[in-house]
Amino acid sequence: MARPILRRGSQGDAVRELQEALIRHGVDPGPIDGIFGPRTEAAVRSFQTSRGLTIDGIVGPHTWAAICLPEFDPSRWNDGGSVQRNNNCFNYACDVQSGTFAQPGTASGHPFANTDCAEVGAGALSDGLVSASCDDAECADCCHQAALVIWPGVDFHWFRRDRSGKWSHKPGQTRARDVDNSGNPITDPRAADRGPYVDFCGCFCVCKGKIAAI
Amino acid sequence: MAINAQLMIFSGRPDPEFPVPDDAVDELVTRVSQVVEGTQTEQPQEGGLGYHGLRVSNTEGRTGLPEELEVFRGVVTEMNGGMTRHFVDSAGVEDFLLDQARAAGLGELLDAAGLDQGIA
Repeated sequence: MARPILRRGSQGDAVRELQEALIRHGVDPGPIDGIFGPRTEAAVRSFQTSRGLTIDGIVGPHTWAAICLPEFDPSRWNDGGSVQRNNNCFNYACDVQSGTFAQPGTASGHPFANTDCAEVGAGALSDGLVSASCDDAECADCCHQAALVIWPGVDFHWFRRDRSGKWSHKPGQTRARDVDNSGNPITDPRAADRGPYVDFCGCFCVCKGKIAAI
Repeated sequence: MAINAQLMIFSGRPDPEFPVPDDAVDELVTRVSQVVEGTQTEQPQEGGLGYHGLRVSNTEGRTGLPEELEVFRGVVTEMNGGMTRHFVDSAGVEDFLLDQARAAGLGELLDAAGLDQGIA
């Protein structure tokens, strides 16, 4: 885990990444220049205020997590209408409400032909996801974990790891939830009751600022 | 006129749709009318990965059917004008629609989902 503590005066790629992430959260840090100046500090304070964090203008572990890791917030997805119906497990895993029922690889021009780990996984990599170990506690940088499983020859499904450290998912048009098919919390998707999605393919890191527009 | 139904079974891929032929729509109307005259019940527990129900969208405005109908685990849910009501599926609507899905060529998929022995 290599998210440095950032404060006024910090410089570099991590600051640039912070600035890009703040924009995704609707906070203006000024120019994306990799320099943690007064406007970036003000943006961090504004973000901390909105999330109920300690307001110190310093980006430590808690602020990084709030900026980079998705929160299990089913109300964002479970509207019973267009959001719920038009965003699938891949949208949810990427934390992107594109309303396209996103298919791995399609946005980057590499749609899968066969529904297996190799092809669907390749599509996801093409979209900008990065292979990762499921045993790592977190992804590096401003990224979160996702896991791919397959109903062999039939369908794919994704889980994501939330800020809490637990996993959640959104099966198709159904509601987002943090339990498996047996109603148990998902501490490890490898051990979850996944119904017919019996093939566990592996874990990935989703870096929201670096993936294709799914 | 035939209407389309949706077999809700996938997570990543779009769910398959299948036509319910006109004569089957007539029977569906009969079954649904029996159901909504029967016992209301609680919202069914939502399905997860695998088969999680069927949906009929009455886009043709067929008399006798709600704007939208879903059925899962023996509960028929009708949605009309923003109102949702749940009924015990006393007329076999779920089995009937599953038969229609099989007739439309989705039997192999239903078998793969473990519905070869009927509704789980």
